[in-house]
Amino acid sequence: MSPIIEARGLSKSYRGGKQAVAGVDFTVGPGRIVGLIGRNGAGKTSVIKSLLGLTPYEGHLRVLGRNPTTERDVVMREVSFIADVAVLPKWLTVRNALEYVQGVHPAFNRERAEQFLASTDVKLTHKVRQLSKGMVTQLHLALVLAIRARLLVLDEPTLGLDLLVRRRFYDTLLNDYMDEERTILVTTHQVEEIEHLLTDVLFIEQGRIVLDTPTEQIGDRYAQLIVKADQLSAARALRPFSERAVLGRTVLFYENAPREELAALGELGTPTIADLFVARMQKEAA
Amino acid sequence: MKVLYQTLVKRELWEHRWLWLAPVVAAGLMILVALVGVVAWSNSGMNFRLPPGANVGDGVGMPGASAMWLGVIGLTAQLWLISGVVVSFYLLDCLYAERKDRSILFWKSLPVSDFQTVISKFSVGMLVPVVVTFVLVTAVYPVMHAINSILAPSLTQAIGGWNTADWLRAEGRVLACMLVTTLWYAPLCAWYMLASVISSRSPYFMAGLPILVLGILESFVFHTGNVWRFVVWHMTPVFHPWEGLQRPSLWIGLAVTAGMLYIVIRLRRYRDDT
Repeated sequence: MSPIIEARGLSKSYRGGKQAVAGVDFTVGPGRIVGLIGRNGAGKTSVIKSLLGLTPYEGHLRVLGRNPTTERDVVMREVSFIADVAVLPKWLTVRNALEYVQGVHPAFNRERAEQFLASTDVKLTHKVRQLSKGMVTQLHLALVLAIRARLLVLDEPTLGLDLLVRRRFYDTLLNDYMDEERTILVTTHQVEEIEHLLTDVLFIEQGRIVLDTPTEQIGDRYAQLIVKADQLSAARALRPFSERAVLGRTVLFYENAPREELAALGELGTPTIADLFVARMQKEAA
Repeated sequence: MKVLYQTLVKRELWEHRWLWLAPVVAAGLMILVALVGVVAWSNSGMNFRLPPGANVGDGVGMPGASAMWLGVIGLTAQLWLISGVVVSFYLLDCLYAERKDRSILFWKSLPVSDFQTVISKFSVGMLVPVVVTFVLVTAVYPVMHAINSILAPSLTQAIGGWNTADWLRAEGRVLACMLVTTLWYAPLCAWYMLASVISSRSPYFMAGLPILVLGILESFVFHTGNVWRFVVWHMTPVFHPWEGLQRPSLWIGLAVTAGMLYIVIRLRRYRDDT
């Protein structure tokens, strides 16, 4: 199957010479849930804006097989996008929002959106201005879930929302949106919350992709070892790329290290994506 | 395509209800004022009679114009002015507010091209004043006439009663004037949109400043006032539609409008400041 997103040498420079994205390569296949993870200013939003044809870029980029700049209007028929909750205009009523999307989007199913909204506290007569942040998110989700898009791009979609709403947001996405054909690209810095649902991770730092792997392969490639002080020097001899001290013990992170030797020294496990991210960033900084 | 365009226009009218609400409210107030005026007139016991063969227009510099003619034109002028003010604010705001509140990210997440968006906003700015003013004038003038003839029959008799042919001629004339004036104003509309799409702080400032600077420079350097004259000339409505259509500057203006709209579309397309 042809890839949903294909980037080769994707670069983005801003005026004044600041390079936000420095020639990245990555491919996203159908049915994947990809986390684009990086710190503030690492280049996440620039990558996403390039994908959505919102900003000029250099390099080769194809979204659903098309050029997102020159064929933006066609691409956006099959791509949905949620930036963050603050972008729905305050004056819009819920009913008008449904009517508008129905009028402009050929693949919008209004009944489905209304069904979803019926399970929430959002009323058709509400204006966005009257809704809480969580309710605005539900409205935006209702609109997006009712569009048969092949690619859903989420840029910090849950910023500023409370835990309950964030959890429900991702649960809804998984249960009501995802299938083998559909693809999600999500950026966030709350990695812990989404790591269980990602199928792939892309770490981005200073405009470069520093890790690109399916999540199920993380365990093959990376290891996390927790050792007591007496084993520390032996563990360090096996060349961890990062370590941190926790409650008198030390957690060390390894890439492609001999598992049997590690297991003999302490508690061996697979690092979480969040731990791996922090460890990788420390390595980059070193 | 048709549904898309209708939806885009509706969206503008949802957000900018004052576009039609302001003239409607104004028309309501005018009816109220007419009511009060007529009652005051009939209570004052004043009397008024036109000399035989004379018209109401003779006294106000429009010889031969009947009361009906003057009424329709006067009403149109007032509503048109109000529409013009609200539509100016609309055009200055229409591509600026969406960037300020970042809702542009929502609008752009849907399959609507920048061309479609800009053209829908431009056409709302061009057509709403004509349509709203014409509909209101058509509805309100007969109401005012009825108020007059019921409450002050002697006055109505004095200045001339209902004359359908005259009314239709007046209606046709104001419609033609408004349509040609709209074409005449097209560059102004596009200029406002350009200011709206460029501006990062205040579109009002952006629209006025270049003209202000040019005008002041001209008067300092050449001691002439061509910039001011040009602006005033281009903001003056067209009173003779057929003559207006024959002005080369009207057609040059439309070409300039197309050029400005092209820039507006490009800027909305590629500008990235959210």
